[in-house]
Amino acid sequence: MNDMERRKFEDSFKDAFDQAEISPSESVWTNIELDLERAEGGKMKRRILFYKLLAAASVAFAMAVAGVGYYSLKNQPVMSGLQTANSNQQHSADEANQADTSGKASGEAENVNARNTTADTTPEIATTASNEKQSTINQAAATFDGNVQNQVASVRKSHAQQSSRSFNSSTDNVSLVERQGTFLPTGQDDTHQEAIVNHSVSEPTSITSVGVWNPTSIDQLPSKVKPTHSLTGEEQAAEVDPVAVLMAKLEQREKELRAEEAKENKKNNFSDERLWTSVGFAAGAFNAGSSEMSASATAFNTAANQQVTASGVTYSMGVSVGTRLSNRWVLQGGVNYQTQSSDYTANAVVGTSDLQEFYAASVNNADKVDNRILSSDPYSVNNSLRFVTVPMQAGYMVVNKQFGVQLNAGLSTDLFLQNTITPEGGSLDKTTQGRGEESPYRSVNFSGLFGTELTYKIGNHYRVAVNPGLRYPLNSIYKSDTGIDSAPLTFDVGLRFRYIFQP
Amino acid sequence: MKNGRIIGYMLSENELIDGCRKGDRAFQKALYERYCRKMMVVCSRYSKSTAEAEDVLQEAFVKVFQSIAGFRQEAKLETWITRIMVNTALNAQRKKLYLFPMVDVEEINLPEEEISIANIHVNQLLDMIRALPQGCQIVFNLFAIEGYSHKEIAEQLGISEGTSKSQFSRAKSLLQQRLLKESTYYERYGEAKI
Repeated sequence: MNDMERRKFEDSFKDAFDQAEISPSESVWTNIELDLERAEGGKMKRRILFYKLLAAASVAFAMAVAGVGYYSLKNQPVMSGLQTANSNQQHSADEANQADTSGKASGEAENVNARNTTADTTPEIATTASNEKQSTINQAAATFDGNVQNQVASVRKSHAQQSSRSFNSSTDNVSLVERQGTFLPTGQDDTHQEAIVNHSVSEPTSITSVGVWNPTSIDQLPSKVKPTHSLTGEEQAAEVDPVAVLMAKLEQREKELRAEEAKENKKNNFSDERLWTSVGFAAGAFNAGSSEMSASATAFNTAANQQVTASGVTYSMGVSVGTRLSNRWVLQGGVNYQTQSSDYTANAVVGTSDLQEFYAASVNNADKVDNRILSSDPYSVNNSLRFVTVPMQAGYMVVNKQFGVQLNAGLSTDLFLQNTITPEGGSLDKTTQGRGEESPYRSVNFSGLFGTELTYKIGNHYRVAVNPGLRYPLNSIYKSDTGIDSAPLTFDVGLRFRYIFQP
Repeated sequence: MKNGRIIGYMLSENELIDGCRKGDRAFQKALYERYCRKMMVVCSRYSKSTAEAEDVLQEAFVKVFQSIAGFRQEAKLETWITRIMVNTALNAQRKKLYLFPMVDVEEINLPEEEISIANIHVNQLLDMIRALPQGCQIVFNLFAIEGYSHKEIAEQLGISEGTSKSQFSRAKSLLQQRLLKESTYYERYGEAKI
């Protein structure tokens, strides 16, 4: 086979496939559509995320204006809610005491006997709620205290005895009495117990002839078991079954506690907070007392020394992102814009060689010292430093409920932006020193961070936080060749607004 | 505009491209309908099974729709789509080639007789190509059908030019042996096996 034939062989394959067609299955297009929609959905998600962040930032700005006032208002209902819970418990106890009193009125002798059966009946009450969280139910039982349990036992006992007495009186009552009489001593399952209670509550007329009951305690009954019409003492007693009444009360209280617990759980559900972003600002003060300058005491150096040792105020604002590493541990990082401002008194000015321009004496003019230094009357100078800080902190959530307490510690990378020296009085020009080789300031600095974060959750997506914290520079912001060592300790309090991304 | 198949044949290439650039699903379907069968052949040549070919076809068409905004129409649309198909297929095969790298193979003496494929159905030819060893299949497709030089193939697959040549020779001889058997069968029984 020569080369031409070989070429022909390859071309024949090319030609054979040139016009060939094979139909792919229908599912291919469906899958392509799905892939395209998924890709478009991703773009849309990113767009939505952007708008969410924008919305969160906007709300944060509004919160910054009215945050503190809103916060205090928001905290008040929590306290009053706690008080309400306490008063409810107190009220329940009072009710139980009153019930106890009325129980005594109905029959002292029977009550004495009934007290002996408290130990037997109390587990029944606990068992009633054992399908739910035990602690809550125990709390429910405890709310009624021994008085209530005694009363329950007392009424049950008397009811059981009276039931047997009234056995022959009415055939309608027999079945009900038998059911209740069987139920109480043997402690049957919850379903049966509830069924009886519900039956008693929903059909009060069916238990009219069961037991004797003191009508004076009717005012303390839940409304649903109160008779709807006015009756005389004996008629009222015949109208409501005390066992049913107390069981209904127990059930009512149990329901309330369960509802409260469910509400609390819902509020405290921290597990859905996995990723959040926050915006915020902070204000504080720094103390540069430990700063020092190793130089002779000239007028210039005195001014520069005052500059580096001056204390002042600091402000910062920025955004951050946080994520939960585990149940308690979180990691937070962000970007902030920070200014540090202080005032010092200078008694020298620095002039250009031709003495045409003068500047306030500051560390920035250190390289101009050889030119012209002139003593002057003392004047005030504002020294302002600006940084972009990139903090990275690990946090431990001490309390992770609706109200949260978090301890944070970490490191911040502080990128120096510029220093502005503003002499007061207007006779000297403002000067600005940026970063770079000629700058006396280090471009990159590191600070240790430690702080706490007190948070409060508002709704599903938002949480506001107040975070007092300390910042300690790990290096001097001035370059080592300036001979200045300045590491001001900063204390600030920040207000942050978190937006929580729901999974 | 719901039925891509109907509008696909009524639209010009430029209209199709413009519609796809806007992300219009009907135009995308029209473009797919127009080229899917031809492209299925391309993908099948580089694959060992229909399912594998369909996977490549799907992935490649998604790339087509995602990158059609950058298509500058310097080449024909079909050529551009074919190139995407081939590249996607090669990407899929590269993973396998990483595990089983191509090496130089011994040349097989080619049959001296002239062998024609005129009577062989394209499906049979496809089966023959698919039956080739992985490396031979890719190199044969790229060299004989796509028209790449051995140098280009070597660069694209990260192999030496010699390896590309030896793989092609082996592919060709294997195909010729197979064709020889088929033509003998045809001479005996008078029809091709389809």
